[in-house]
Amino acid sequence: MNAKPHPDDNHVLEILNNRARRLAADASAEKSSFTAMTVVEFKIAHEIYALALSRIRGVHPLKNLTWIPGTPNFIRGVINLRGEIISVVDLKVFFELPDQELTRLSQVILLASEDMEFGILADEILGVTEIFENDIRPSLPTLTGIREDYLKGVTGDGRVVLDDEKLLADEKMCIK
Amino acid sequence: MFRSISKSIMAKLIIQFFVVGLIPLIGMGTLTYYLSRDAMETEVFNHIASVNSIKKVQTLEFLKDRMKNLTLLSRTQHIRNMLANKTYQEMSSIFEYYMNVFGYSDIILLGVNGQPLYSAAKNIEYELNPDIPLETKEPAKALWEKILKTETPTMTDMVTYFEKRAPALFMGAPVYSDIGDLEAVIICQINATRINALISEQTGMGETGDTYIVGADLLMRSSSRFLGEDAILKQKVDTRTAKQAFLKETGTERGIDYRGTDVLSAYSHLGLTEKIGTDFDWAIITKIDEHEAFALLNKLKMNTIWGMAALIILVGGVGFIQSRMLAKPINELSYRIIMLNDGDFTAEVPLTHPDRADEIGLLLKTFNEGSRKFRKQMKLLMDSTDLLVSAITRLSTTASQLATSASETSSSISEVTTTAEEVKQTSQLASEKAEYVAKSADATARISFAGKQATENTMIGIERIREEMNHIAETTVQLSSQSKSIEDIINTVSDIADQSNILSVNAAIEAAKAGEHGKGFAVVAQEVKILANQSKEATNQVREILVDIQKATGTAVMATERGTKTVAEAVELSEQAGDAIDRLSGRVTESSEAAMQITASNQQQLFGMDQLAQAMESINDATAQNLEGVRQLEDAIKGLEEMAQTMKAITSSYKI
Repeated sequence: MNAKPHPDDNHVLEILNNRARRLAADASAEKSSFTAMTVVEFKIAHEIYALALSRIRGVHPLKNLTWIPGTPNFIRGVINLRGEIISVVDLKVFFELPDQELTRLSQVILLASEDMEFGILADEILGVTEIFENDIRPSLPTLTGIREDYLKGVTGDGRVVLDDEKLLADEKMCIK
Repeated sequence: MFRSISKSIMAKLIIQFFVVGLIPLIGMGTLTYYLSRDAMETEVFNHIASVNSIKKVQTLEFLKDRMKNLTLLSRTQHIRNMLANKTYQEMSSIFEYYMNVFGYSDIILLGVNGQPLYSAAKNIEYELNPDIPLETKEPAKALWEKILKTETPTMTDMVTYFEKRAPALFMGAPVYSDIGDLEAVIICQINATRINALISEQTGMGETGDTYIVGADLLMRSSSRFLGEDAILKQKVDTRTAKQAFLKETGTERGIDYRGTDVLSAYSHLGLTEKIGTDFDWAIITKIDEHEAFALLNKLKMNTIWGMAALIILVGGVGFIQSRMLAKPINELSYRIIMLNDGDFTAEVPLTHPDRADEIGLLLKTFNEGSRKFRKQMKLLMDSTDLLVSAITRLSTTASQLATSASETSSSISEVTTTAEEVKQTSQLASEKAEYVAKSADATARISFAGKQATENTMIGIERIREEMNHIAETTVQLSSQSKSIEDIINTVSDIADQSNILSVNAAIEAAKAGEHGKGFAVVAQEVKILANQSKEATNQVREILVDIQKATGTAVMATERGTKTVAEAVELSEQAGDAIDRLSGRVTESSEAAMQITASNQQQLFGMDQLAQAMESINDATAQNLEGVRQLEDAIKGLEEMAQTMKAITSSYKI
């Protein structure tokens, strides 16, 4: 089956090339009909989350985390990032996930809007990728609790797409 | 019938009682009877003999007297004168006197010529009255003729001289004249009644005692008391006694008289011929009837019979009661014993007199006790028989098992014999092997010496190995520390790769912010990211390799340590091997000696096995005999079993 086609079998090559072109044409047609979204993928406690790239200012390794007393427990502390003091949020605590075990949380994803800026702790940054919006489905019945309010949906391959606008606009994040 | 009666003990006893009681009694009675009878007979005979004798003498005296008187009368002068002068009338008174005194019926004178002269009874002178016949002429004439011849007085027998006249006898005597011539014959007539009166005087003769005279013609000359006087010269007495009387002078005898009656008689003949000179004779017989003579005897007999009858009843009664007392329990006992004999052991004699203390009572009680005991014992015996039967059955089973065992033993012995033979062969083989072992032991001793040298060489070699091992250990430790450094480097590379990744993300973010102008940068960022990932993968691979190396190093360290230890153990083992080979050498020498001994022992064993084989042969024979014996035992037990069955059958036929 995996035998290489004979070099002189031009007819077979032609068929294969035609098929490839047809498939490529279909894909571009699909792309054009659906809006793509560039996201950063990251892992928290074995789950893969995705955030739109629009509000992300950068990704940094976690260094010199300083705990601040009197803050909500989902704020793990603050870091100094090139002279700026940034609060760091643990989404596990914020989402009140039952699994509170300590994970590596070695990366910080910096979110920022015009009037709000904070970092989200992640175990691992998987990279930047694109998600089609029609691929995002409503959240699963299992994804209940507070988290549900901050979700855009779940992709077909099980990635949880967070709503960055809602997170940034949330009142709880604002420390009075 | 008699047998069955004679078998009964009661009958026997009664018979014995009778025999013992009656035989002496009858004997005594009979003896007494006959003795009495003899005595009485003798007495009666004596009595009638004396009567007979008296009557004989009286008769003889009577006749002789009459004869003498007649003779005297014939010789008187008066007679001669009367004859000479024929003066008969003058003499008639004298004749009458004679007739009255002496009982002559008539006196007759006959002349020398026989003519009748005078009859005194009728006083007839026949010369004067020739017409008157002399009634007694015939007997007178006969007498006259006799006297004429003999010239002596004589007498005639009794005769019937004239019809219807009573019989009479006549005596005659010659009358002589003065000159002595026979002048006449004087005859006197004596009637039979005269003699009859004399004889039939029966005083002292009881009711049947009787005497009579018989003539030679066996006619009666005097009458019997049972007959009238006319029986004289008519009644014949034709008896043995009468005949006997004429043969013997006197005697007695028992016989039958003219009436056919049993009588006792005494007889004698009168002897008239001798005493008076007559030519005839008479016998006189006295008799008495037996029934009268033995009347007393008969009375005695009757009394004896009555007495005996009473005694028989008495003896019978006593005998019956006694026999019953003896025989009844014995009958009961015998009946029970017959029951016993028929196998019924429930037999017990009913004790009608339980307090009977004599031997029979004791016998019955003892029999009952015995019967009870016997019953008990019989029961025991029956139980024992059952036990015996079951025991014999078990015994039989055991015997069968024994037989089987014996067979098995026999076969086992055969096997043992075979085995012994095999052992014998094996021991022969062993002997050969032992010799071979002895030879081998020598070779082994040499080899073990060589082994000892080799061991020493080995020890030296091992020492070298230990040094090498130590060296390896040091090298390995160094390797381990170097691999640590490599791990640090890998970690650094990995960090760099991570940072590169983040950098690529940030670059991508920045490129996205730059919009359309950042597109090319986004590609670069993607490439950086790919590179970072490849670096990461490479470091991971290196790390894995390093982990493998570390593991291998650890293993090598441990292997080295184990090697070191093993080498130490090897040194020790080599030393032990050296010692062992030393000891082995010694042992091999001992083995060689032992092998020699084994050879010797094997020879003995071989000999022993021969003996064992022979012994096994004997045992085999013995076992065969044993088997035979067991078979016989089995047969015997079979016999026993049959016997036990028989015994059981017998005992079960008893009723207890």
